[in-house]
Amino acid sequence: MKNINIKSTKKFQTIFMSFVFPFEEKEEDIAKYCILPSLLMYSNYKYKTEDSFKKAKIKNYILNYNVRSQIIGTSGYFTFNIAIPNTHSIKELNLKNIFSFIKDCIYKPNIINKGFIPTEVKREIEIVKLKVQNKEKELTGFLDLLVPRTIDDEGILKRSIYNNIDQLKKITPKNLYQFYQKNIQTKCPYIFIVGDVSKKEMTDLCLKYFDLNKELAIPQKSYYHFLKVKQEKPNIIKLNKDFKESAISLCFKFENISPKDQMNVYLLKRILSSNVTHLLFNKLRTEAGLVYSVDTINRFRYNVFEIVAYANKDNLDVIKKKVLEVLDELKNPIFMADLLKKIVADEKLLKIGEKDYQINIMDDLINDYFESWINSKKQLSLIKKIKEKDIINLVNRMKLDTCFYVMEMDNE
Amino acid sequence: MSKLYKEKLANGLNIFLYQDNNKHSTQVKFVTKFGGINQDFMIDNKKYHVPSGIAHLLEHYICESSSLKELIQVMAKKQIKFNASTSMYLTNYYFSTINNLEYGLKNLLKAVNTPVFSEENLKRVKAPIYQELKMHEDDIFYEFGLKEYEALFKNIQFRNTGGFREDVEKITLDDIKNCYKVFYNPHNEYLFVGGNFNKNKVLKIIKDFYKNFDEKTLEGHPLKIKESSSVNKKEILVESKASQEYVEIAYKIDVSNYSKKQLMKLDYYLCTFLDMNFGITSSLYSELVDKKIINTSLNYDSTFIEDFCIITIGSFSKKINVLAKKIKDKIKNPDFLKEEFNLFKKEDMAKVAIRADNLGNMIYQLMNNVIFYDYPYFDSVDDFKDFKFKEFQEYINKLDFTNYTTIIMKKTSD
Repeated sequence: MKNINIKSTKKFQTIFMSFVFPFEEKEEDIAKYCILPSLLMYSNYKYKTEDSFKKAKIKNYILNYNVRSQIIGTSGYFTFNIAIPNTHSIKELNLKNIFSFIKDCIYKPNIINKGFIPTEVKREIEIVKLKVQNKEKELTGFLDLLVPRTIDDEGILKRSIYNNIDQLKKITPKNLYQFYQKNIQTKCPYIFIVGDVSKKEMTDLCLKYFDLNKELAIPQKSYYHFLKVKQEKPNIIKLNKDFKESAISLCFKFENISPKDQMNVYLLKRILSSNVTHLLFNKLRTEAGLVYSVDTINRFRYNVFEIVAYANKDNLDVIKKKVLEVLDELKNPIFMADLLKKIVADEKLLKIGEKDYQINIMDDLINDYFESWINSKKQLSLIKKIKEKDIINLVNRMKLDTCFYVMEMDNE
Repeated sequence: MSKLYKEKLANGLNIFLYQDNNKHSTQVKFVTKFGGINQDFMIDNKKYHVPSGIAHLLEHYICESSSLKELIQVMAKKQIKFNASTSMYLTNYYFSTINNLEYGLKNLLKAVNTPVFSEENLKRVKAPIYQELKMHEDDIFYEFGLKEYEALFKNIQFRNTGGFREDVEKITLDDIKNCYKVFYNPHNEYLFVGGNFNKNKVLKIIKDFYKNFDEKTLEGHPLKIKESSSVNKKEILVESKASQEYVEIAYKIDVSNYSKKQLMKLDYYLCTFLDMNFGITSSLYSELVDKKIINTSLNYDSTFIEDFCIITIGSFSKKINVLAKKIKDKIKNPDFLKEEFNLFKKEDMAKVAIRADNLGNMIYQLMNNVIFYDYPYFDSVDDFKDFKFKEFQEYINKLDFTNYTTIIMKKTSD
C-alpha cells in the first residue's frame, strides 16, 4: 500500500507509529488547528475521562501517545504518534488491541450534540491563553514573538496562535468538530512504522483497522514562503522593557533565495554557531567576554535568519559591530574553505550518530515521503558538494533587515 | 550484547563501563560530587564557608582555564560534542563521540586534573557567568524558586546552583583552590563510559593517564549543615509577572534515619503515591478540573536534600486558597489503590524494558543509582518484583507530612 510505510529494524526495542493527516492550512483556522490536538489526546468515546483514558493506555502498554498539528511553510499536518515496546520485550503485548485503541482515538472522539465537550473546549482555550500571556513575560519568548510581528509584512510568519489570540473567541465545540470531521474523520491516514516488526503483520493490521475507502488527503507541499528583501537600510527598533536582561537580535533576509539554498543556509548556521567552529561564541564570549550565549535561528522556509545575543545593554552596539565583522570575515575564501572542511567532517559523524535514535529514522521516513525535508543521507551528499564560493555567495546576498534592541529598564 | 563493568582504581576513581555495540556513538560523563549546595567544608581541621555559586564557577573555570585552556575548542577539533553542567549535588563534564573516544577521554581527564589558577583567569571566567545569572532572572519562576528554599530551610543556605552575582563577585582564588582540593579528588569522582567501545582499551587509557599523576590523598571533606526539622517560614509571598496566580505546598520530611536502599525504595514509592493522588488519574485532579479550580495539571515532585525529603505540589489557579486547602486535605487523607499501584508498576516495567534504546538515559540512570543510592546497577524488570503494595502503604504512612510551607505567587500589579 502506498500510504503504509514500514521500516523494520532489529536495533530498537521500541516501536514508533505515526498516523499522518495532511490538511490545507488557512489563516482563519489557526486557533482550530492549535486547539484540536488536545481534544484528541486525553479521551475518546470509550474512555471519556483523562483517568480512564490513561489507564487504558497503560493496560495496552502504550508508553507515549500524543497528537500534534505541525505547519511546514503553509502546509499542515495532524499527526497521531504512539510508542510501544516490541513483542520481544513485552510478551503479552497485543498489537490488535493497540491498533483498535489508536483507531478509536483517531475516529471516535468524545463528543456530545455533534460537537466536542464544551467544558473541555473552554478549558483548552484557557490553557492556550495562559501560555500565550506567559510567553510574552519572558525575554526569549518576547523576542520570539516580536521578530515575526515586526518583520513580516506578508502575514505569513506571524500566522501562529500567539498573533491570532482573538480567533479563540470564535471557536465553538461544533465548529471545531466540523473542522475535525473535514480534516481527519473523513480521511484515511498515511501510516509510518519504525521498529522491530514484521512488515507483513503490520501491513495486515493497518489494512484491517483503517478504512482505505476513505479519502486520502493530498499534501499541499507548499513548504516555502520566502519573505522579500525590501529596504536598502535596516530598520532599527529599540525597546525599553521591564526585563532583567537585554538582548540584540539581528534579522537577515537573503536576496534571490530559492529552495536550492536550503543546505547553504543550514551550513551557514552551523559555521556560525556549531561547536566545531564557534565563530560567534569565540568572537563575543571567548575573546571579548561580552555575552554568555549567542545563537542563530534559521527560519529558512520564510527567508529569515537571526543572530541573537543576550548581553548587558551597554554592550549591544559593540556586539552588533562584532557580529557584522564575523560575517565579513566569512567572505575570505581560504578561511571559508577551512570552516567548510571542519563542518563537513562533523556532519559525517553527526549523521552516523543520528542513527542511534529511532526518532531520527522516523523523521527521515516521514520527511522523505512528503518531501518536506531532506533525509540524512541526501543531506550529506548535498553538503559534500557545497564549495566555499557557494557559502560566500550566500553571505554576499545576506541583507540585514531589522535590528532589535530589547533593553532592560534601569534600576533606580 | 550489553554489559556493565565496574572498577575502582587505587586512587579512588570509580569507573563504570557500559558496552552497547548496537550503538554508533559513545558517551562519557566525568562527575564530581560537588554542587551548588556544597558551601561548607573542612581542611586540616579548619572550617571553610564559601560564597554561593562556587561549584558552577569552578565548572566554568575547568572548561576555560585548565592547561588546555578552552576545553570545548580542544574537543571540537575532533568533532567531539562536549559540555558541562552543575546541579545541586554534582558537577558533570560530558561528551559524545563517534570515533575519537581516546582523544576526548585523555583531554577531559587532563582538563579536570590540571587547572591553572590565576587571578587573571578567574576574572575572565567570571564575566560571562554574570550574564548567565542574569538570564535566569526573567524566568517567571525564578523568584519563586529562591523563596521556596528560603521558606523551607533555616540553616541550609542553598538557593540556586549558579548563586548570586554579589556572591560570585566575592569568590577568591583561594576559595576555588580550596574547593578544588576538597572536591576534585578521585575519591569523590566518577567516570561513566557508555556505548560502542573497547573496554580494555578504555581502561588502559584511564589507568595510563593517572600513572602520570601523584595519587591525591583526601585533604578535606564537605561539612553537613545541621538543619532544623521544621520549616523556616510557614507561608511566603512572591511577586511575579506570571499571568495567573500560582500556589505550591512544600513538605519537609526528615528521612535521616533511612538507609540508601530505603531511600531508593522511598523514591519509587513517592512517585507512585504522587501520581496516584495528584496525577491525572487521581480523584483530586478530576474534582479540581470539574470545579474549575485548575485548568492545567498539578505539578508535583519529590527530591532529597540533605536529610530531608522535599515534596512539592502546586498549580496555577484563580482560587489559590481553595487549591492549597484541597492539596493539604488530600495529603492528610490520601488514596491507596492497589489496582493503580499495579498498573503504574506495569508501565514502569515496560519503560525499563525499552530503556536501552536511549544511551543517554541509560547512563543518566546508572549515575543516579550509583551516586545517590550506592546501587551500582541499572534498574531491571526484576527489581520491580520487590515493590509491594503493602510495603508502599507502610513507607508512605511512615512519612510525617505535618511540616510544610505554602508559597504563593501573586501577580505583580501592572
